[in-house]
Amino acid sequence: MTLLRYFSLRHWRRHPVRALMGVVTVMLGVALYVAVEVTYASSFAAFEESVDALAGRATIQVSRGRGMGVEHEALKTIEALGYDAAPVFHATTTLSGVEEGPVMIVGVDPLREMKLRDFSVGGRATVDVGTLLFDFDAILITRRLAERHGWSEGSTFTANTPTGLKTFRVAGLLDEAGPAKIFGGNIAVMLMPSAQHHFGRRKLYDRIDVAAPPEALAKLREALPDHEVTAISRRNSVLDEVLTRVRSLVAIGMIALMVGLFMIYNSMSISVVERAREIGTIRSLGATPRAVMGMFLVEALAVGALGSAAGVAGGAALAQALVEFTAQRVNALVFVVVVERIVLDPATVVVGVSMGVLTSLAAALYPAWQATRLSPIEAMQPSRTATRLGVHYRGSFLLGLVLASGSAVVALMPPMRVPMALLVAGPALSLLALGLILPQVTLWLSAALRGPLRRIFRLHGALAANSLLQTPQRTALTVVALAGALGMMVATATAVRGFQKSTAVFLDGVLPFDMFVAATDMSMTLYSTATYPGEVSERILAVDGVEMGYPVRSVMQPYGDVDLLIIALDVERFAAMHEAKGTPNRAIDTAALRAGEVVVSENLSILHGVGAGDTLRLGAHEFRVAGIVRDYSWPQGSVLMEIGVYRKLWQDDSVSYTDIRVAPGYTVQQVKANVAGAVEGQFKVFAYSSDDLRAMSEDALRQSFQFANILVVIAGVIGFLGIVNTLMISVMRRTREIGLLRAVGMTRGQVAASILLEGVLMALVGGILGAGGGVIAAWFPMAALSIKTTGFEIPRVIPWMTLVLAVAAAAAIGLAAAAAPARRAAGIRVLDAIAYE
Amino acid sequence: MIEFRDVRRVFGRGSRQIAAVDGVSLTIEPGAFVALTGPSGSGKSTLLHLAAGLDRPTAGDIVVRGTSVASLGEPALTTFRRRTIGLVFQFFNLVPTMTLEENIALPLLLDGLTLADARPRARELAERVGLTARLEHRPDELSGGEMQRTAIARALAADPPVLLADEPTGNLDSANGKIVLDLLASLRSPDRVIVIATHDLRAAACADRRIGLRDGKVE
Repeated sequence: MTLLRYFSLRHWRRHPVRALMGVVTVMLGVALYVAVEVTYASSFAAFEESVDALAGRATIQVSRGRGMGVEHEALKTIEALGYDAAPVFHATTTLSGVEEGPVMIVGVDPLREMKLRDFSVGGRATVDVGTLLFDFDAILITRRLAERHGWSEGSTFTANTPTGLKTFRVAGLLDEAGPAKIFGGNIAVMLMPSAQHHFGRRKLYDRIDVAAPPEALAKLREALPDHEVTAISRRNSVLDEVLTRVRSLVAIGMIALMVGLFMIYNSMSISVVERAREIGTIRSLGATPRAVMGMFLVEALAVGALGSAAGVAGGAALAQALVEFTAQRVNALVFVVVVERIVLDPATVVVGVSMGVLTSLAAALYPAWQATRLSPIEAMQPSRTATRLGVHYRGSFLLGLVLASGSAVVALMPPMRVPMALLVAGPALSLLALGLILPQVTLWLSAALRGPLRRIFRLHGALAANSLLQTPQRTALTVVALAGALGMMVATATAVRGFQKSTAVFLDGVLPFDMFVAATDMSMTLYSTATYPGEVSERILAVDGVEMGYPVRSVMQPYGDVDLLIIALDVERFAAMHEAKGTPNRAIDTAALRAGEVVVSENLSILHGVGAGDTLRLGAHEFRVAGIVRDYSWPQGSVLMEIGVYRKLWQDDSVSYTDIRVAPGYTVQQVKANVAGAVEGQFKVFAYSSDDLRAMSEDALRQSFQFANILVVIAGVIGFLGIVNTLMISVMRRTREIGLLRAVGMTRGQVAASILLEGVLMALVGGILGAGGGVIAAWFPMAALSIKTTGFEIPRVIPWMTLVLAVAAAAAIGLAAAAAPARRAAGIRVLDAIAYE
Repeated sequence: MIEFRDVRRVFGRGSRQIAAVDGVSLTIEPGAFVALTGPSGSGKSTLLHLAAGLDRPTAGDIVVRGTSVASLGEPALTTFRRRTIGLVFQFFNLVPTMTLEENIALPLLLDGLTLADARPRARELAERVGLTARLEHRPDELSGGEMQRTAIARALAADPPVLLADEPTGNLDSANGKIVLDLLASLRSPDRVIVIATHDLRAAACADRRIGLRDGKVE
């Protein structure tokens, strides 16, 4: 307590900025981790709330795979077994003529529904029961949706359905309770027959929900052998996919924490050297080595605790932004989740705080131990202290080599065999390895670099180089911290460029159409369940300006724990369009597809171990895999099949898109107008050119990495602070030297120039290391992570412009960080400096 | 009180070894005021550090009040320094973040006392060295002489039987040096040994006995 009170606290009160920097770096690292975890938990909680709200009392669901309906007879069979059951119809639609996001339409069988779920109706408004029962266009909407558009009982609105644009009449308002509270109020309820009619379901249900104990599963499976009988699904593959990417941002959080560890290590070791004489004094007066070590560890604990507490609060705040971003990403793919509250799990707080505190303690352990190793006499002679504390780095070099070797082995292993945790921690461990290796490398380089630097930069260069090389450990860690931040930036850019390249090849080479017509506004969602009838597709293909085209049905199909994307199209017309474009697709065996085989995407093959010649089971159907193609349509894998086969097996003739090749003499705009004219007043369709698709995919890619870029900026700030910190200490340590130089004639400008050069040199080395390291990180650990999570390979590219920018940014950071220390050094008063002890 | 038994202290390795103390044997009786003299590099400071337990001999032993310093483990050595030895350094070595009062009380604080408990002793010593009016000041607000007097007061906080001063006037002007030397001389007592290491002949003249060292050996 004595040392803490009189020694620690007062020292840090004198150097508040340095203490704050340590706290800030821990805070940033913990905040990043907490933000990612809170986003994950909040998004899942919102989804689970939706599922719970929709499921009500239901525990079991009966279906026949997506896209296929369940017949009414199945409902009777279930009820005959004595279970309460209700048919389910859900469809997502867009409203016409109003600015509104997607709306979920729920079809209900009221008598059965009220046994499972509670759709309560508002006390202020009553339901026009007559209208509801006898008007096929009657619909109930939530009070929130009504208030947004000034609707009330009797109001009408138009929505897009597979049978065309339909006008619905509001027959009542729903309170936000039960299912009505999900999706931000964007939910509407109709009687089942009305919903089936408007959405073309022909007396079929999406599924049947059953309230029954778990043991009923076996009974129901036996009674309904051609159906899928499972527990109510609490997962969603789209959410999983986006959240997996969000979770991988933890890797960046760990790098930031590693950078923070270096900063704190530097701060603590500087603190030991600075206070060496005082340590020697109190040791000579009777303070035990244990007390001295305890003091440093308590200081680190305080930094860690404060930083962690601030990090948890900051992370929760950051999560607000990340949650909105994530929800946008998910809803851009499929309208699934509206996150309205943040879930801060106590476990996340505990882990976050532990990470911050342990990082601080780990960073302080070695400097604290070094402080106790000094004999009192050595400690009271600062020049001997600095020498004693930092002569040999061979031990850390060897440890770093071992760590680097381990990281390299992991990076070269097949990603599917490496545990996810190791892939996420890999980049941070590589950075740690670099931090351990670099001090000794710096020493070795010193002999080689001293001469050239002196020749190139003369006196300032000699001074700057000498200063950097006198404290190789401190220099190395500052360099590595900046390298880590810039490396992340380069790695992200490399990955984005790689994906852009492969996506461009895919879009140009694999997709042969000039434009396509979708049933959904793809600026809102990319993977909507919205469709239009097959005859509408044929009508579209018949308009002027269409040289050739084909319908496409794109639908999710459960496959174990994930969903696969079935892409069913007219393979003959698809192949013909490729021939016309001059890009014949040899990978797709049209004969095999017409015979009922399928082609799977490369990432499906990697993720699920399915190869050519294997059998793939989708729902109740089995297919032989005819081949593998590179396809970026869906991160969990896609299956290409002949549309005729799909329609026969799944009894579904609706269409998701119609791909079109524009005839010579026509423009895409003209054909778009012709298509709109052909279906005007009957269907609302959305036409896009292939350029539009390219822009949407690039936008989605950019947004995926957007948040990573924010994290990179945060880590860059940490690296900047590291240089400021190191240079300030360097100036302090060299006060006498600077005073002597000024006394013999060095100008203030020359002093400042040597400090600026020191900062720029340090930062440039960090920039070059970061540039190289970033490319390697993208080629190895990031690529491995991508394959592990999506099966997509990141093509190896070198983003030359980004590399140049990284090095330039490093120089700018070095210059900016050195400005204040340079000013301080130039302002040193000669006499004070010479008398400095 | 202090006995050096064939003490050697060698620094460096191999061909670069230097014997800072080379086989010194001598005894200092209780009540003595001894000056270790000699040119720079003669080993006088090293001998002092060895007696204080700040360093360990390469060979030989130092016995202080019947205790073999060389055989003490680190915890025992620390306690030994805290209670048996009072140290005064050439460059004062006051803690810059502590007031004069706290600096004086530091050995007692390290021994577990609170400042409130240590305060009376600190004030008594401050009065003894003539610094009562400066108790709330920090070292950077004191002159060299005042800092050294503070260091002497600190060295006496635990009332140690052995007072060791390494070049106590080395960083002072002649006027302040005289004040410090007079103060040290006034601390003589039958139960106390005072040893100063100095190359200042005037400081050596204050001592009862002079032991000259050259090249690590007693002249």
